[in-house]
Amino acid sequence: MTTETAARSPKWRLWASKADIKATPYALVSPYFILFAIFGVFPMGYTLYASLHAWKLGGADPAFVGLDNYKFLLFEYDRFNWSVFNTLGMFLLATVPQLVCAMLVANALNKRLRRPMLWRMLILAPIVTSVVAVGVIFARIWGQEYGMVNGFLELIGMEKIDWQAERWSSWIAISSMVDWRWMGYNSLIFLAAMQTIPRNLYEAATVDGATPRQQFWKITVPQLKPVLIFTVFVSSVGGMTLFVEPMMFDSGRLLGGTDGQYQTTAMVLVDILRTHGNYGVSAAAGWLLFLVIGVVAAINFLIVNRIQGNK
Amino acid sequence: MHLLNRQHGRIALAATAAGALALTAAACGGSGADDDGLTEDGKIELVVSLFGTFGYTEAGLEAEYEALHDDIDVVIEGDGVNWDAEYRPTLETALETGSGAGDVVGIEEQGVVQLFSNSEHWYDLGKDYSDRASDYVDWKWALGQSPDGTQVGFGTDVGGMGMCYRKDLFEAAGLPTDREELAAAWSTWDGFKALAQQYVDADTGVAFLDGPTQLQNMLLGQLAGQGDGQMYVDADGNLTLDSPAVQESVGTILELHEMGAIGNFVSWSEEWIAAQAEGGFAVMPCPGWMPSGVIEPNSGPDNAGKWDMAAAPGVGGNWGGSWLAVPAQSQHPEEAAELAAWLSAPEQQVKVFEAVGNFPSSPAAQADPKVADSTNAYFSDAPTGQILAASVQNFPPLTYSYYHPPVKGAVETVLNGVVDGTFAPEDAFTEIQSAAEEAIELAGSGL
Repeated sequence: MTTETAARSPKWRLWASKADIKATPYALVSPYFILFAIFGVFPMGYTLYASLHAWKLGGADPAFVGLDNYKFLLFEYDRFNWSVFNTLGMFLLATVPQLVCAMLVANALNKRLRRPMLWRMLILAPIVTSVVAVGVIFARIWGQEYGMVNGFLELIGMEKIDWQAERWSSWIAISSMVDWRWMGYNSLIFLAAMQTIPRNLYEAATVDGATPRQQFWKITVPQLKPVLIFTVFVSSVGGMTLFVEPMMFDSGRLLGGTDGQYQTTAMVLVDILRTHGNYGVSAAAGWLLFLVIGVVAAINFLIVNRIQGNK
Repeated sequence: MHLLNRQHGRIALAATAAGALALTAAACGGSGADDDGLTEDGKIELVVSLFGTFGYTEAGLEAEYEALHDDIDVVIEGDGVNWDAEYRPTLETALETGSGAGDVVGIEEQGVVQLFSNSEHWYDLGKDYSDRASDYVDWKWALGQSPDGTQVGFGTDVGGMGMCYRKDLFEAAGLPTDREELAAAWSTWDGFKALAQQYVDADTGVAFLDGPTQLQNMLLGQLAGQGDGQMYVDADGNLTLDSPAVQESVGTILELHEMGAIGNFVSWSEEWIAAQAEGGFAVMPCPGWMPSGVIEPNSGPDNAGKWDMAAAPGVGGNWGGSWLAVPAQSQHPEEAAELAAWLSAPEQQVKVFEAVGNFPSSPAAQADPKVADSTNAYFSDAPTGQILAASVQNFPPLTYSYYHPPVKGAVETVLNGVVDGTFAPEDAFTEIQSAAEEAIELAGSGL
């Protein structure tokens, strides 16, 4: 018995150790993928199924309608196409200045400062502020009659602006809200990346007589490329699913102003679901939004990828 | 208990954004009972699931009922939850899936027709409590029924209407400030328009009305009630935008707008809230729960005594109000029905009125001196009890279509757009037509 076991054991052990090497990594990462399958893949598949059916809350049983829900959104429901336009517009208006400012702020924080921790904490403060509180405050700042911005405009002798009434003005107001919240987050990420750039690059550049500005553009920015791709990607997804800020700007309504001036696609999706109880069309809007995000993220990746490491 | 409940608008907003969280909490029911609906010590647990402010906690009714019934454990949930953003979607899902609803649930007027449309979801209260019809005015009792005549809900409160106005701003424009005099002067809508014109001519630089939508809802309700009771959509789901009621109400709004009498304050917006403190408009239609629940906290102690309340133009009106119903999925429907009947009884309606100001829907409760003789100190001691009771007495019954909420939302958005200059007044009807058609297509027979 003992000898038998002893004789068999190496073979068995070999098999077990092979299995261990091959399977254990998968077993260890599997919880995430199991959860992802349940809460990610399944809902997406179910949404796809819903989007191909006429399906209303309290209505008849779902009936297969093919791509009718998509056709309705793309060719009949004007609000949808406008919402994509609004979302893209606000994304550009919010993200470009946001990332530029974040990089400049990070560059400033990367210099020798007194109490660097204090400054970094302050930069991060907006991100821990409740978005509802931010919405209420910004709705007051950009208010037509009692808003702070209009107060300044009047002070310098200009006309008041009804910020919610026009497309461009409402976009500016909402972008300011987005930027205020997310600029600090991005600048901290940039700052962390900047601190990994080897000092000797700058020292060599200084010896060669490069100005701080030249150093920023020719060393810092190219070295930040991987992080830049990350922040652009995260901002793209965040910007394309913009929801709470414009909703709060319209006091919690989902129509984005009187004519959908700042109604984002995420708001259209929720409005169709909540106000009209229409699962089918709402699910179709979700899938269209998913495709738009994919396209935008791909374009952004291509653009950012053009920053050359050696320039 | 109203669309955007009498809680501060801000709280409603906070609730909206916190939606996901509260939704989960509400869906899980948070009950300590097992599947048999009993607590560990063998009592029957009845979950009362509410939104906004029903006032049952404030009036101490939970403890009172438990003292009367040894074997019952009442759990009140959801106070302060927003009706439209969280409560209604959660309840609809619970009814569809057959589990997760409370034993007694509150339903807001905006949702009665939709939620009561399927009587299979509800326990028939008419079996044992049909005699309670005598507690209510006819329309309040009738709205609690499903289309096949099952009694689904007991009415709790109503939102009788008056006009809240700023005496100081009226005086500055040379208008009468006495509430009796005003009620007489605007007893007709022509009288109201004449006062609006007089106010605008005085050119005080302050808007007359707050915005277009509250007046539209009150006027449409009156006109529809005098006609066939239908507002934007008829019983078959067809738009009735050509009806005299819609044409005349929207026409009046456009007329007042061109006169310059309507302010650019969207109801429940931050600007609207600020305007109440700053004196940004002089008058607005006011449901019974608004003076103490909305205007007083928004305007603050500095403006005490500047506000007053007068009877509304025309035949009064109603905005908001709720029902209690028992879902068929309840483990103890008979006990739940008994609790719902008790909570909505006239005596309890009076206690709720005293606690939080919800105006009773029962004429007996309205006649109670504690209600009828009530005055509002902040509103210059206006006899609010009398004004509100009179407005619901005269109020004609309305038919709420299944599609009323989305179409109403579409119309309101266009009217706000006319006032903020997005749409030209002459295009208003075209815009209303297309927005309403889209709403019907999405919610209705289309996709």
